[in-house]
Amino acid sequence: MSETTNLNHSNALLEVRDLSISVEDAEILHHVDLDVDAGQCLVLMGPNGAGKTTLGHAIMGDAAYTVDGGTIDFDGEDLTDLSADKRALAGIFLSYQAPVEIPGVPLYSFLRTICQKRPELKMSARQFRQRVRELAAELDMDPGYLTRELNVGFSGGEKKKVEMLQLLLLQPKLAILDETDSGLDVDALAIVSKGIETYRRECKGALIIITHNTRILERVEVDRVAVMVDGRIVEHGGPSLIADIDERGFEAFEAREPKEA
Amino acid sequence: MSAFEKTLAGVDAARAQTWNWLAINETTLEVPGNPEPVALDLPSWARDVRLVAGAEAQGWLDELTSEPLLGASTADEAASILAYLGDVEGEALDVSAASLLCEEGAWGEATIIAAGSAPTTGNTCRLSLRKGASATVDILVARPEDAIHVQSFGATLAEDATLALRVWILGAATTTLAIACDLVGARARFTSELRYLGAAEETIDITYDVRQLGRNTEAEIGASGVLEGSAEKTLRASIDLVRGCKGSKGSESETVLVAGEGVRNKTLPVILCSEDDVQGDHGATIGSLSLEQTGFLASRGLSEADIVALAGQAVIDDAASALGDVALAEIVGWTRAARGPEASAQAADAGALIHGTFCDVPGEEV
Amino acid sequence: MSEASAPRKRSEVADVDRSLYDFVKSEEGYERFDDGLSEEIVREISAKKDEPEWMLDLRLRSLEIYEKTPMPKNWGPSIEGLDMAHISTYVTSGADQATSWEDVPDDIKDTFERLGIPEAERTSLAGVGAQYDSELVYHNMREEVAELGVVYSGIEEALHEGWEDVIRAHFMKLVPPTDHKFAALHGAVWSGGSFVYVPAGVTVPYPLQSYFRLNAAGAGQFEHTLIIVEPGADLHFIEGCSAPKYNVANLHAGCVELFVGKGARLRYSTIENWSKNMYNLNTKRARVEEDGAIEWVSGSFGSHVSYLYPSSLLMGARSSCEFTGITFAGGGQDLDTGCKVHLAAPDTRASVATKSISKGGGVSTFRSSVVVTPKAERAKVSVSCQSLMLDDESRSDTIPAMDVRSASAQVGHEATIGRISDDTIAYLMSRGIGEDEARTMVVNGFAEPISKELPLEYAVEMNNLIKLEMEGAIG
Repeated sequence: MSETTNLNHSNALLEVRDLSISVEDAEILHHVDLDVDAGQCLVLMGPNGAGKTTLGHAIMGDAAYTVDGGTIDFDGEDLTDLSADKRALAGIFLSYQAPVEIPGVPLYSFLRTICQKRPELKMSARQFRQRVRELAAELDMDPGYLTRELNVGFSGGEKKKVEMLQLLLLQPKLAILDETDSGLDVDALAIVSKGIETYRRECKGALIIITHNTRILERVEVDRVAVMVDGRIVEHGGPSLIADIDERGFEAFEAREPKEA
Repeated sequence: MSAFEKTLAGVDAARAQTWNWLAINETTLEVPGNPEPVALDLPSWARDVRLVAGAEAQGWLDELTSEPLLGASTADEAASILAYLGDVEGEALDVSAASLLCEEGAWGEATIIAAGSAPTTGNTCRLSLRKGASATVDILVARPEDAIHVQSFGATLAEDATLALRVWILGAATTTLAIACDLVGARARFTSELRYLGAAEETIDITYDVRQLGRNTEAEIGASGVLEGSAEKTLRASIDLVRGCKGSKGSESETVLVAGEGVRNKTLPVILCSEDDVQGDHGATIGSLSLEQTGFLASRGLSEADIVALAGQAVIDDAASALGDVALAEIVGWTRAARGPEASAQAADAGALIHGTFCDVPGEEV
Repeated sequence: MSEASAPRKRSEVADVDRSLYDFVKSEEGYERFDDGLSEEIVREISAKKDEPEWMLDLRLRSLEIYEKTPMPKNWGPSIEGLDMAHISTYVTSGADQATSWEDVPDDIKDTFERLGIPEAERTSLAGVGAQYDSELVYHNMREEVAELGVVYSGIEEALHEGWEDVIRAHFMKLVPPTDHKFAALHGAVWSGGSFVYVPAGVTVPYPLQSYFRLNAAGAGQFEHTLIIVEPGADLHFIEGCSAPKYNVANLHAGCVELFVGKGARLRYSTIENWSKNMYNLNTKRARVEEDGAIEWVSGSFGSHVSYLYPSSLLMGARSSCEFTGITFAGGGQDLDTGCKVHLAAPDTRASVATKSISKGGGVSTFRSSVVVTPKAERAKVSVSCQSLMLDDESRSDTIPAMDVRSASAQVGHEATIGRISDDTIAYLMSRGIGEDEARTMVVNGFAEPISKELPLEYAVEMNNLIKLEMEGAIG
């Protein structure tokens, strides 16, 4: 099931090479290689604590994660030394597992500001309101949220919807969805899945879906699967790997030697 | 003018005081003197409302108030008071008083807008809410960078009365705000949201003094703001859970984003408690945003400078969307003068939100 | 008060002996200075101690400052019941300071036996100082600790034994007599206390403990504690205090000055159980250099009135302060306690966690100040205080002040006030626990985060004190 040969082609949208990451002096990721092509959907799976979230945040450039070695190339550019905001403007989006509360900042002001940072999204106030209205309707969101403080007092499901709204508004080239499915009820999960479909259809964007639950994948067309255990990618494969994991769990992978890149 | 300069001492004094070396207990205020004091004529219900601006400051406000506004809401007819300050042609001083009585079960509202260019403005707002009455009070301070606004506010709530107070302080060289609220009757409820934006050398001085006397009363004070440049802000917030107020809850929460190297932020959040069957709490977060917050905002493409600008804009947008057409023109005008055309355009957009949803703006084809 | 009580067993929480602290020994044959305060008395104290000239000057200057400094009028508990004209500032048994308990007069030895000091010394301490009224009666340190170069003695002895220059450079430099009225009083009439010097790089393996017992009625105790922990050194110092109850006012105006060097650590633990006629107007301050750490653990149970705010000056980069405190105010008590933290260097850290309990008409006030200066870049502060009201005749106030002048600092504060929920009591009772026991259990649980910071036997002592207070009947 080895697809390591894939890693050598050079037209990938995202190229992670030999990436080691530490948090507060503890190394979490060890020599990770990962490629995602434009428009491709990669599912990153693994048990709790494997380092999946760390990889997502490291690709985003979160300052809390220190790069000990390796590179991250995106769209032909080396991003390794760029701050998170510059990476975001280059077209990377990370949907947080636990979206952060920002007291004092109304959702409206926030959305308007992040749009205005992207010249390709320049639109009039009227167009902006219309766009947001469409997206809110699609995500079954109460427009009243727009005047509320960003994520403050929002339920888990509401926070995730607001993340999806930003995904669809910003139309990034690569979206990393970190456990977007966790803690959602059936209805919210359906709405989020619909949002992911819309993103794939309309933005033709690439996706990294981080999850340890295969449920959300039922409605998404998956191109590739990578399995992470103990800070290493231990397996690459096609969508059929998902069924394997469903059946056998992660234990089968944990015993294996890490894959050499 | 200097002949009439006057220094008011003991302004906005905290109910429970602490070390004097902290210089936090109270403030002083330089104001123009008053050559022709008038005797303020108020109905007894208004005279009974407790105020906490301090004897000197309140005396100064009162003797400058020649025509107090009065409103009375009844169950049949709601009163709405609008006090508009600062826009008096050729006058250096504009001081007013607005008093609102809400009879049993009635609803009323008061809006105080200090926005014009007069160097000094002041206002006293007195509220008395009878049984089951409710009221909404909005106060906006959007004044030029060299102007002073002195605000005093007091309310007395009988049983089941509800008061929602919202305050936005966008700008002024000095703003002082003294808020007193007595929850006298059972189940009376007071909520207050204060948002402020301090820039340059501006000074914002705020005192809350809430007494919970009745059973099962609730008080919720929220304050949040952004301080840029060398702005200085003091917030004294006291909740007094008085013996006998069984079942009452009082809470204060404050968030301050310190975004300027010269900023000074002083906070004295006091909870006084002489009753056991109560819940009192206070929380404050002061300083820079957490690494987690800046990381999240950065992941959406915002630089550090963008984040500070967003936080300031957020205060303006919030005022614009909440106050809407009542004060939108003032907010947009103030924002244009203080923060430029882009910020004012965004404020105008935010103002459109007041109309129920963010999409259906009257007069605009969708 | 039962004279016949057996030495207490610290390990048994249930075994509380009310006479533990409240017993009086005869003052017969003691030297007692006249009540009140005068230049003559100050000169007499100084002469008695055969002090250097500069110390007498400091005393006289302090007296002047005391006389012209007013008490703050706008805050703090009343001290109207305290009349300096009826306080003797100096009382001594006349006993020489001993280095063996065998040489301590029987009455006094019995006092400290009952308080468990010699026993603690044998089992868990590196050294002990015991002060009785105005003078130290016992001071001893384990030989192996002395061999490390650690000095632990009375201030007076240290002055005469080659430490005069060091003491002169530090004594009342952190807490100058101008600080407040009772700091000035302390400067004028201080007597006894401890001098501790820990050389660079030395870790003192066990705590040192000083115990202060005020036996005389209508007297004041003014001990001075000066601790210098040199760079890289580490010390845990424990302070205990108690007194029998009288119907006249007693005064405690001690002063603690702590100098924590670069990369050094000092933990300063106090269990204060003054009797309820005591005015406890104590001043404690620490100055911390680069990478140094001060840790305060403070339990306030006794006294009629307390003003107590250990203060930490974080002067060096990355220095830190941890303050853990509990205050239990019962009937007739007005305890104004808390802390002050001054962050004046980059990357400094402070964390404050306090609990207070009010019962039987007692008044507990948490008062604090956190000042973050512009130099304190990236400073982090968290303050949390929780107050428990046990009935509706008591009072609990929270008065924290914060002054933040650094844009990159982060200051968090939270406070809650409430009572034990009925649900909690109902739940415990449903498991067969009696109501009183359930309440004591909840209060002990409330105090747990503090007691776990104390050495075991002190934690047990604190639980005993809580149990005592909860039983309520104590005079």
